[in-house]
Formats: sequence, C-alpha cells, structure tokens
Amino acid sequence: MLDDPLREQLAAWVHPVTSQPIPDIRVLRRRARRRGIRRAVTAAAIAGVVAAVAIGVTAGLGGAGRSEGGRPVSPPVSPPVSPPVSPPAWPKAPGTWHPGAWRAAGPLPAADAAPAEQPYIVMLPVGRGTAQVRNMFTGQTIATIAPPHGQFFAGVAAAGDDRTFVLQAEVGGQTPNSPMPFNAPTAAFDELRLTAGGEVQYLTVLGTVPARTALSGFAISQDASMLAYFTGAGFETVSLRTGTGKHWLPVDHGVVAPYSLSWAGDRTVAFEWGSGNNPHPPGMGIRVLNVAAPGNLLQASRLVVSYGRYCGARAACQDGQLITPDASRVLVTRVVGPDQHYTDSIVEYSVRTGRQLAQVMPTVRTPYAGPPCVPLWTNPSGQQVISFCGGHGERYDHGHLSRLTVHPPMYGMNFGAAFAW
Amino acid sequence: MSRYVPVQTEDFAEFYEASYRRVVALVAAIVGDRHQAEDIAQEAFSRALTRWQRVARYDLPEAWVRRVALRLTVDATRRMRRARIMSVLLAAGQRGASGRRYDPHDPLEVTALSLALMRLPLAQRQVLVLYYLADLPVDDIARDCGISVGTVRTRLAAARHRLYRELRESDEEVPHAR
Repeated sequence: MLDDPLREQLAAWVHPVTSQPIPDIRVLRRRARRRGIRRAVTAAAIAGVVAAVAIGVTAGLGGAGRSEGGRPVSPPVSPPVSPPVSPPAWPKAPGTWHPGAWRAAGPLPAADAAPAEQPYIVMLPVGRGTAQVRNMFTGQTIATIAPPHGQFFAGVAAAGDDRTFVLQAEVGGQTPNSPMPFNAPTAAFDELRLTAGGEVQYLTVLGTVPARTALSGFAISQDASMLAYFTGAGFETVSLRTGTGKHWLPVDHGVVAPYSLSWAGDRTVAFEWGSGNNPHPPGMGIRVLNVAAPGNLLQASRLVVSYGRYCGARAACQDGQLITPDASRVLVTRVVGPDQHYTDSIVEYSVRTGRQLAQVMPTVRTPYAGPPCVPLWTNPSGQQVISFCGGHGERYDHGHLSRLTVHPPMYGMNFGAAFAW
Repeated sequence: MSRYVPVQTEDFAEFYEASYRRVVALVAAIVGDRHQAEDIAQEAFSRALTRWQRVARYDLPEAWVRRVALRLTVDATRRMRRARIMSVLLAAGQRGASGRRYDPHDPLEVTALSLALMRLPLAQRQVLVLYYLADLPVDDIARDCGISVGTVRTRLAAARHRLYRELRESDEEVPHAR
C-alpha cells in the first residue's frame, strides 16, 4: 500500500467518529469542575485527620472510638495554626449565609496521625447529584446521602476531623433530557456531619451564593469555620461563624488556579498563582495567604515555591497541591521534561523557607507525560502522606515509601467522581 | 478528516469547535474505540478549559491538547491491553464478507487495516497515526511524543514495515474506504 492510500483509508476509517456531533461544551465544564472539586477537596481534606485517634482516646469517657484493638493511639492535639480566635473584621459576604447553622468540626488528629485512623471519604457519584460515604481502605459504601430538596450535589470538601464535610450543590437550573442541572442560578453550601461509624448525623444548609461566582474549586478550613471558593480569577473567603467575607481579587493580570485552594488551620490558604492576561505575573508559583492580613492578594500572601521549581514541562504539569494542616509544608507535584522522558514526583517543601524537605513518591519516568500523580492525604505534620500515581496508592511514612491499597472512586485512569478525604 | 490546521483564538469555545474532531479522530485511530476516544478527547479538552488562560497563550494550543490526549491514551491502552487483545480476536472471528462491526455501539468498522493497526505497538501506532492521519511533520511528532526526531523516524519506518507486512499476510483485501 502506498502512503497516499494509507492516509485515505485511515481517514475513512475514523470518519464515523469525526462525523458525530461535537459534545456540548458544558460537558467539558462539568468534567473540569468535578476534577477540580476533587483536588480542592483533597487539599482541604489533607488535613483530614485522625478523629479516630481522638475517639480512641476518649473511648473511656463513653465515646464511640474507632481505634484498632490494642493499637496505641496518639493523643489529640490542637492544630497549631487554628487557635480559637475571632474571625477577621470583614463586611457581609455576598450571598445569603446562615451563621446559626454552622457548627465546629470535631477534634483534630494528632500531629503524627496515621492514615488508617481517618478512613472516611465522601464522594459524589457522577451524574446522580447524591453523595456517598466510603471507607477509603476497604472500599465499603457506608451511607448514601440525598441532597436537600431542589439541590444537586456538585462538589465536596473535608474539614480536619474526618467527620465534617461541606458539600457544594447546584440549585435550580434547566434539566433538558438530563438529570443534571444546566445553568443553575444558585450554588449552595451544606455542612454534612458523620457519626463515628460513618453514618449521617445531620446535613444543614450553610448558605447560598450566585452560581456564576462559585461553581468551581472550593475548600473548607480544618475547623470548618472558614470557606474559600474560586470566583473566576480570584477567590472569596467567608467566615461561616459570622457570614462575613473578603474577595481576594487578582492583581497584575495574573490568576489563581481554580482548584488549587487548600487550608491550614483557619487563617492560612495555599493557592497557585499563575499567568492570566499577563503570561509572567510577579510571584508565580505556590503562595500562602494570611486571610487576616491587610492588603491585596499578593501583599497578604507569600511565595513559597516558584513556578519554575515544580513545573519544568508546562504541558504536563499538575496543579493539585496541598498544604499540611499545621502550615509547615506544601506538597507539590513536580514534573520535569520532556528530555526523552518526563519525570514526575511529589515533593514536600518547607512553607517557612521554601526548601525541599522530602520526596514522598518514587520518581516516575515515562516517554509520555505519565498518568496524573497527586497527593491525596497528609497528617498535620506532613510526616505521613498518601499519594496516588499510576493507579495505585503510595504511602510516605517518615522517609519510608511503600505501596498502599486505597479505593478512591475511579473511572479509567481518572478519578471517577469528586471526593473529599 | 481535515488536515491539521493550527487554530489561533482566545475563545475556548471557538478553539474547541475547530479542534475537537481532529483530536478525537487521532485518539480513535490509536485506541480503536469510539467511546474511549471520546472520553479521552473530552478529558483533554476539559483540562485545557481549566487552564485556558495559560494554554491560549501557547503558540499551538491544539498541540497542548494533543499531547495531553496522547498521554491519556498511553494509560488507557495499558489498562485496556487485555480487553484490546480480546476485541481484536473477537473482531477477527466475527469479521466476515459483510465487514460487520464487532461492537454494535461503535461505528468504527473492523477492516484489515484496523486490525493491523491495533496489532502495532502503541509507540509505533502513535507516530504512524500522527504522521499519516494528522499529517504532522516528524519534528512536531517528536515534540508531541517527547522523543527525538531520529526515534520518530525509526518508529515510523518500523510501523510502516510491520503494517504492510501484516496487510500482505492478511487473507482479505483491505476494505475500501466508504
């Protein structure tokens, strides 16, 4: 066969595929949103810590502990970065908030808690609008949660106690030939609290905002008192205690990566600052914001890891990073290449100095950019981390690496549903 | 399929409309499955959408999407290796004079060419499809696949040789294009 006939026959063979209608762009938006929510969720959830430890310790006081038989548990400690201080003096936040509905998350885990002490994830099965509680280590579905009337769950984030989650829902919207709403005018945030056994204790509406400003990444603080949600280029931080908030607008024509938000305590938000209309805005990279500080987004935040240090292959870089609940470290997917191969790794950097502290996943080399490698969970100190890369979990424990079986919702190589851990 | 024409636009919807069919065709030719191809193409475009303000400033945003899609096909192909072998065998068994399809939900017809293509190693299949279907120069293929130009040429020659050998050995003529 000559080259030209081969070209023609190849084109003819795939013609039936190319003659199909192009999917609606909203399909892409939903996919992007689900993926981003999962990232934001895991980021906030990082913190997610061993409530089981606390429960194990308090079992003698009548608590329903989850500690494993005979296993010593660490005492619960207060998160170093979330002292019970009053919320910043902000004006009323956009939307309608119900401060009376907010309740603080339970005890946070010990600084060096192990992942097994925090087994619950909340996931959103694709296209159903409901939520499910799953044990991450056994894959068992513990409970299915229907949304409040008129809502369709679209995102989820976790606080630090492994029992408190915030669900984002679309309210209203047209649903032509689809169970999923389109162009929902309103987004709601609901607080979900689980019992020690992972069953639903309560689900309550925290507030609503116009959907055009909040159907993208979001994160909840360790004590569930503060919310941060992406607004199109910057993000809004809201105190759920008071219903007040502050809009962190982008400056210098840069943008915040929508799904890069994660909390340490209730005062520190980590985010990725990148190019927008300005391809090289000052201070690109992973930044840490003190939400109580004065000034604009860049004045109140500090660059921790510059963009070039973790992204050496712009077409292949991942944008999901996590800050440890104690605000000491950030976990970043570093991609270098291609120089014959791409090199993927997940690296811990010191928030204080920006120095590399550890590599928490074995380096992956591939002639292609490789499957997404992302950090899923960390204990408050960052000494124990669970990552996911190439279809399996990887555990980092004080410098030691080992494979770990986890059951995130998967569809092919991608996470099949938004989930929070 | 239309030949590769770079799209320069700040408007994602416009870019998506102009590029989607080319990307999904490439992926379909590599994975041999319409549904898998659509899933991968949509995933690649959704990633571009998430980063559009950045991607739009690249010289060739479609090249970025294509690279992401190629990357996704690698993993999908690994995952589907077993199923792929079964599908090819099943297709070969079902293939008759009528050239009927092995998957009633998949419009990709089983032909001697498609069977031979699916028997190629993924790396060779990628460069062959990028060269013959996307009409890309070897320099661009090297960039997309993250390999040297020499490696592209080597893989392309090997793919062409193996494909033609497979077709020669086939008892059936290559069905003509519709």
